[in-house]
Amino acid sequence: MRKTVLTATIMSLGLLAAGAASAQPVTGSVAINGSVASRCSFSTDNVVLNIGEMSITSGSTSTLGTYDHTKLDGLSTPLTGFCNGAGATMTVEAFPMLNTSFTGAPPSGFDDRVDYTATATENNVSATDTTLTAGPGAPGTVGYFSSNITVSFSNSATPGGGKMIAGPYSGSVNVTLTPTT
Amino acid sequence: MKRVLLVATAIAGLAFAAPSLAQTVSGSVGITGSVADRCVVNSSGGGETFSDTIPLGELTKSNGTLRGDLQGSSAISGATVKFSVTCTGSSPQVTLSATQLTAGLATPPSGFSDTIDYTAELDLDKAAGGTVPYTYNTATAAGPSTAPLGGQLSTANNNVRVSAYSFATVGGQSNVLSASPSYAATISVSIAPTL
Repeated sequence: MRKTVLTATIMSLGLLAAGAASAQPVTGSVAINGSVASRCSFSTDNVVLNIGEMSITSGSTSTLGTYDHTKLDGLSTPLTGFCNGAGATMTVEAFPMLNTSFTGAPPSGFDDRVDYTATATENNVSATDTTLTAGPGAPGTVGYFSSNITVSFSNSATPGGGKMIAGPYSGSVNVTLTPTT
Repeated sequence: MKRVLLVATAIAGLAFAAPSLAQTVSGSVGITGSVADRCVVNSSGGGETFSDTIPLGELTKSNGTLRGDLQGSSAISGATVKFSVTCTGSSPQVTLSATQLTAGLATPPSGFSDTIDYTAELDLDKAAGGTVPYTYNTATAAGPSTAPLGGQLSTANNNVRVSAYSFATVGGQSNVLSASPSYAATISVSIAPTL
């Protein structure tokens, strides 16, 4: 009788153990992670505008030789870039067009400099700067964008409205995109 | 004739009865056992779970779009992790699923994305030789992919491998990926006993 009970017990325990273990699958989890740095970049970062002869070449004697503001005002050119962060900003710093071959103070009635306002626009966001004051203008928040930035010019004028001293003139506009998250 | 045989049989019975005090009792004990149909993770000391991480690092190239090497149809170096699993059954049931690689940001503007699809692949080595691949594409799979292995799982080390490849930015590979330090996805694997 004891033998019978013992055998039954062994078989019973064995079956129970086997039944419990078989219900468990092995489960695995593999995490994938990565990051995207906050950045801004230009794919077109350099445009040269040659506006040609800058002075008025015909008309009244009083205006002949003075700066022709129509050469620069209303002109625009695109840069192309992107920023991938919500808080990215755009800043413009404009530098006046200066006669690069003339040195010293211009004689009375003459000018060797053209000031202007430069405006960079991305969709509905603009940033501007005037060459009348040094340093960049206030930044504008562009956030996420991947498109053209249109740089336009306005309010161009010589300091005294005099006749322009002959020579090559050169100025520049720097558009700075600053990534932030 | 029958009477003679009967007497002889009775005598024979007496002959066996005589040495009864020296006879031993014999018995038998049956031993039974079983091997449960189960799977265990060797590397975790016989546990039932395994985990690892595939770190992809910076996901974009200089123009802000997804890195070209991640777009390839095979896993880059470091995008495959290996495990050792033992199953006692004849054909474990395998389930694979995966989630998109995403930063979970607010809906990005046109031209941007914060979500990346990819193909997750689970490779299981069979004891009889050969490897059975299971794949799950996060862009097209409607639910977890489940199928039997179709044979016993190999007992070799690293017989279970998980990889990821063919990453594709949702909305198009030309979309710029939104900045975030934490793009994350999960590949889930289940290797269940046959029964």
